[in-house]
Amino acid sequence: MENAGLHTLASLPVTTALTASAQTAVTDLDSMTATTIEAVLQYGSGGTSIDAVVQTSFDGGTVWLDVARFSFTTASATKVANLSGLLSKAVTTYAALSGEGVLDGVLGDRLRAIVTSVGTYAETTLAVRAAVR
Amino acid sequence: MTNWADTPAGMIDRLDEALSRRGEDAILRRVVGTSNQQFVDVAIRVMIQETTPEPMTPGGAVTQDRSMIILSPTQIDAAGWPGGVPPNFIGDPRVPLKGYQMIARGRARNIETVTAKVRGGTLVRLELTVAG
Repeated sequence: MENAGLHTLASLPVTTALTASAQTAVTDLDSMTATTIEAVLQYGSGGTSIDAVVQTSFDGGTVWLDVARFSFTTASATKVANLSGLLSKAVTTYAALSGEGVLDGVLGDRLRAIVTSVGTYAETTLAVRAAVR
Repeated sequence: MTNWADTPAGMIDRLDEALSRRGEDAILRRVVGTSNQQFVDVAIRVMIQETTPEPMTPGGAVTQDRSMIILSPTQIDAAGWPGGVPPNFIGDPRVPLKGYQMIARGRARNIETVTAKVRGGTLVRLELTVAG
């Protein structure tokens, strides 16, 4: 495990609408076996919805797969999820997460966050952190 | 064994050694937001050069300390600080911006200016002016 520890996948103010804004990836996560993800929205005012999707990749960052999706609206909230790469998992057809939830048992060697928002927020910040093991 | 090579790696190695011997611990903080702030921190080793206090108003009694702080990119790289940044982020995200903070000697200091020393295309040293 080259880069175990706490990583910030996203930390940004949310103002005008964002369309699948891909934050820079955290790489060098070879042999990642599990990750606990925390998404924190500190809400100010305005806006409609914010979605933070955490993704992983198996081909060096060309194709990304959704592994967790956190949804927020107009209130401060802290949401957490845990993902394990050691699960026994039957053959599954991949589908992007259409709503809040996780795709467990699927971890590559890197993570990134994609942020989408609707409406215009003010004094609002979003942070997504991953504790990688 | 000190790396005396005249290369970016050698420069970084010598700076790291000096900071290890004569530096002190601090936290570099990226501040996100204005009223509802979130922080991205990294523990680093720095060298602080205090300067003389400056009056907040001409002839005033209330002063603000200004310091120069030297740090290496080594711990920043190891931690992957500041992590994911938006696609429209301009410049090297490892280089702190005005408005970030340095927490050292028990207090948070605002970063005023940043000089990023780049040699051979590699970031080898950061010099910050901080106030507070």
